[in-house]
Amino acid sequence: MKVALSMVLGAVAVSLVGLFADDYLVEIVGMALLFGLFAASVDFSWGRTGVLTLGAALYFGIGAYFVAFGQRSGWDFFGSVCAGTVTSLAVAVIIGITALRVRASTIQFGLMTLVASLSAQQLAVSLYNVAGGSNGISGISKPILRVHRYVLDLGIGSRYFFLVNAIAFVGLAILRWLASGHFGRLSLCVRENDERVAAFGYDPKMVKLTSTMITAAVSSIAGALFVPFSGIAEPGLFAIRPNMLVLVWVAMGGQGTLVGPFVTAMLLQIVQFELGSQFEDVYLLLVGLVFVVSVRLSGGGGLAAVVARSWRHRIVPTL
Amino acid sequence: MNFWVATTLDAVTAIAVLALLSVGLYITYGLLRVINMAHGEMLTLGAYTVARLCKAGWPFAVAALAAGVLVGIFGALIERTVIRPLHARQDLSTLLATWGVGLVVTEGIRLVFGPSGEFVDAPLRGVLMLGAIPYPVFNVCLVATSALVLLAVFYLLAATPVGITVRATMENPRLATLRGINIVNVYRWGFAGGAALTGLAGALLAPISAVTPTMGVEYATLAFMVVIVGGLSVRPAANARHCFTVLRGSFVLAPFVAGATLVGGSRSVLNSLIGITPATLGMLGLVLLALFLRPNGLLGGK
Amino acid sequence: MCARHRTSSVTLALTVLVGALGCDRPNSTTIDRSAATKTQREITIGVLAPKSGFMSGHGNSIEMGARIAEAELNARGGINNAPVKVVTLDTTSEPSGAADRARELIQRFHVQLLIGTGTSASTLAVIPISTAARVPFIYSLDGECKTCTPGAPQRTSRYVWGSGFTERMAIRPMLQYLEGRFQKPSKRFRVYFIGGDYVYPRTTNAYARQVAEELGFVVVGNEYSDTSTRDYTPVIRRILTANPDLLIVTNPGASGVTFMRQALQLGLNGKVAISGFATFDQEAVDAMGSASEGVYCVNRYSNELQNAENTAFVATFRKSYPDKPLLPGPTAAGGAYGAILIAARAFEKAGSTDPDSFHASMQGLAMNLPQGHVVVDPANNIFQQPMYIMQIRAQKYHVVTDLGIQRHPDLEACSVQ
Repeated sequence: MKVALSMVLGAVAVSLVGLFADDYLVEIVGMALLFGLFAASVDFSWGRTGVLTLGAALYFGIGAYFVAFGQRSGWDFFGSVCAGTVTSLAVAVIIGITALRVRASTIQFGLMTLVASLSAQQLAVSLYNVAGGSNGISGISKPILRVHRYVLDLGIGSRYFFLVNAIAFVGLAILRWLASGHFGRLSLCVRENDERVAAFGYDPKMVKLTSTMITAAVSSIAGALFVPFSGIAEPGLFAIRPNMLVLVWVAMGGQGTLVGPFVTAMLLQIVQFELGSQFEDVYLLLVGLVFVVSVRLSGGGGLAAVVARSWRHRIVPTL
Repeated sequence: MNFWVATTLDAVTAIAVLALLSVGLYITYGLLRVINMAHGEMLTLGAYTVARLCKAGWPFAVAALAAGVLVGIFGALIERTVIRPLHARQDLSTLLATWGVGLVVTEGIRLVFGPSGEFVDAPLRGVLMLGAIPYPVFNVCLVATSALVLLAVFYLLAATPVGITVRATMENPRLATLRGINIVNVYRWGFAGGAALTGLAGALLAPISAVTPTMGVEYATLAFMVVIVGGLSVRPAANARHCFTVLRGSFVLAPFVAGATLVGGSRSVLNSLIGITPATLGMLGLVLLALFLRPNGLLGGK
Repeated sequence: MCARHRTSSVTLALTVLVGALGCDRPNSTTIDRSAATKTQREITIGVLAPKSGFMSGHGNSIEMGARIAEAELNARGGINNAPVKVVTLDTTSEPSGAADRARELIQRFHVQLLIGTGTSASTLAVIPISTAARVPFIYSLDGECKTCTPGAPQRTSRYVWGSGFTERMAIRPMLQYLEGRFQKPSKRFRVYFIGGDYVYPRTTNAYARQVAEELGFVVVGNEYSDTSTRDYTPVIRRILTANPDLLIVTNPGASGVTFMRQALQLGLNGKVAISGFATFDQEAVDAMGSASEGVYCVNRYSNELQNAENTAFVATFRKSYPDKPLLPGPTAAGGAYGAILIAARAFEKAGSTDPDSFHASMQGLAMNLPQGHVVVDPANNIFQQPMYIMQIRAQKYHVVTDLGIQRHPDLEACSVQ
């Protein structure tokens, strides 16, 4: 109950941005919300189940490209989101079955997803007829929803932002709900000791696979909703940097907490948008430095752990 | 006939270059279990060092060795300040921290040396005509150096007391400690050594590539692919099955040579058959297929 | 229980933080807006400069050029007596960065004009944004000048201009010149095309190939390599076997440098005349070193040009940035400077910053800029301007021949739909 309440509170608070802030901030916070959802979804498999997905941007990018391509080809918005999600799920299943079929190490699985993401980048550049090549697909506008005779133009005012806001918090709530239920406890067990889980008659492979699929689906939805804000789907979505950044958010936010990565991703993204252009040429250098130092100083969970070390044992559910 | 000779030559060059590129990454991973995301940036550092030293009038060979030493020192520094404190943690903090290091190095190079890039002229210019096939003399050098470096690493790991210490630490750090091996020292020298080899590789590649602040990324991607395809795990089973140290040593090296062969060889052959872009996609396909068949790498064991 | 309690307090903290950010903003921007209305008419020009990432050399040049233009305009009393303010933001050389910064400039800084970006991908990302907001946007670098209307690719935009030269302006005279210079007697001229495997090299080379065939050349090769290619030996060997008279290289950035470095190893430079598009800018040439010796390229600007505007511009540049060795990108600083000056002239002619009056006064506007006499082509919004063939010797551009004023033949269709 409290979880639901806090989610509603969070959503309402962020909605204030849509009501009062200037257009630019609304867009920034909208994008930040989606990065937050993305980070939470990666945390679901990495932090909760211990399945490392180094190439999570693959799913984010697939979702983004499907919406961009769909809008260019006149598909229904909802249809393109679904198509992207289904494709992401299919890719996740293929990779998952491949790597989890036999006991590949966590790192090996992670690196495979990263290779898959980089391959997707190459593919997006090469397929210039379909995916626009290096230019990507730009000029994506906020969608117009059509249900029966009712037409809802999300491009007006902050409507699209409110939709995204709702979806991000509902998504986070669902992830938390899954994590707190039977499946969540099972995945924690798999993270701690999958052999023992197997001894209890569960199939740890299936738990890992399901967990990866949840990450893929949610990431893909986040990516799909992201494109109407950014206006462009480009091969850079699959590059190393977004893949690493999301891990950074999760590590800094505190693995396994879901809310931690969500908040961290959001705040860091907002800070980057607000301050990024003030440091300009040393910005990336600062990011690198801050990053090394924060990983180095914290006791294992990044920046958030520095703050949260005292109650870490309580926010990270243990068995 | 000529076609296949040329293709074989290109494949051999590609394999040699890739093996040289990834040996440092492989050592770092095999020994410390650290995925060094700053690998590409170490290559860049090596290339910039050689470019600057050559500009100052140093002979190429000396400058390349100096680049290796310098990057090795840099590696030791990173090991001491970033990796060692994080190493005890069984999570990804080292991966993430080295990514941060890489970002700092790239941006630092860009700020200090400018975004334009540098160039180094190869010490040897000229073309070797093998029948009707032109082959750059410098590539002969590259292949030879690569073979030499691999042999040296092989010899060191397989037939010297140092090698035994290193392999013992690779396979079981705890047991190694019990045997009185100072594993902190092994880690330090291992990481520095891997970095030095990477710096040397960067230096040697500098004459035939664009020396820019971001040059490392592309090469690092290939190196990672080599190491993944080859297989990361050092096989503990090798202990039981092969009683000869030499054989065991070769198991340390074989995975990434196999990886380089798959990645570089397939790309080169496909390149001459179906063109470059399809070859790249075909190579990626082969990598994924290889991983599908053997998820722990070609020689990674099941 | 405790866990849940903590979570809600984390969420609460988030609420407060984001709420604070959100509530803080509108106030500060309303202050900005009222301040802007008080001084009445400050003209803000937004510069999208790729100051980090792989185009960072160009980005810094673009900013320097824009700053010089700002100082010069303000020294003579601004535009329509309103002071000029240039706001530069970093696009990080990525299209998504360019799109974000364009939105920031428009929505936050309320700019009346956008200048810049480094690549056609970034330009394509900015066009829909500037068009939707009806903010004029002048692409200040060279290359594909996409000036179409989003949603109507065959119609010239009312809000987008291309101030650089396009390959289509240059290809025919350039090929003719090189044929005259390198054709072997009583033989048809043989050309080999290579390029990176993505949109720009493919479209550029396709057009060049078409022109080459019209001119009666023999196209002996045409191939594209993806940008991750690191070994060009097979390509170079194929070129040597085909034995062309001219090699056209369209591999912008690092891949072009890698290609040229390896071509040098195989002795290609001595055997074939080499030219290309977007491959031999100053940054690339710096990294190519001796491998760039003797290469021909076509350009709209060199700091060596002898005309009153350029002499003044180079002098100001040297004075403002004495520690910068030279204009880093060949056209980046001059291009941004020129684009702002001509836009200032258009604003003055219009007498306001209304985008439609701006559009009307840009039509056919003519002006002397550092690169020479420039006319804004009303048919396609691309600047007609003088072009030069240059040869690179010791990593410097030397004007070999003046091709005269060139015009872009038609509208370049956009992939923006």
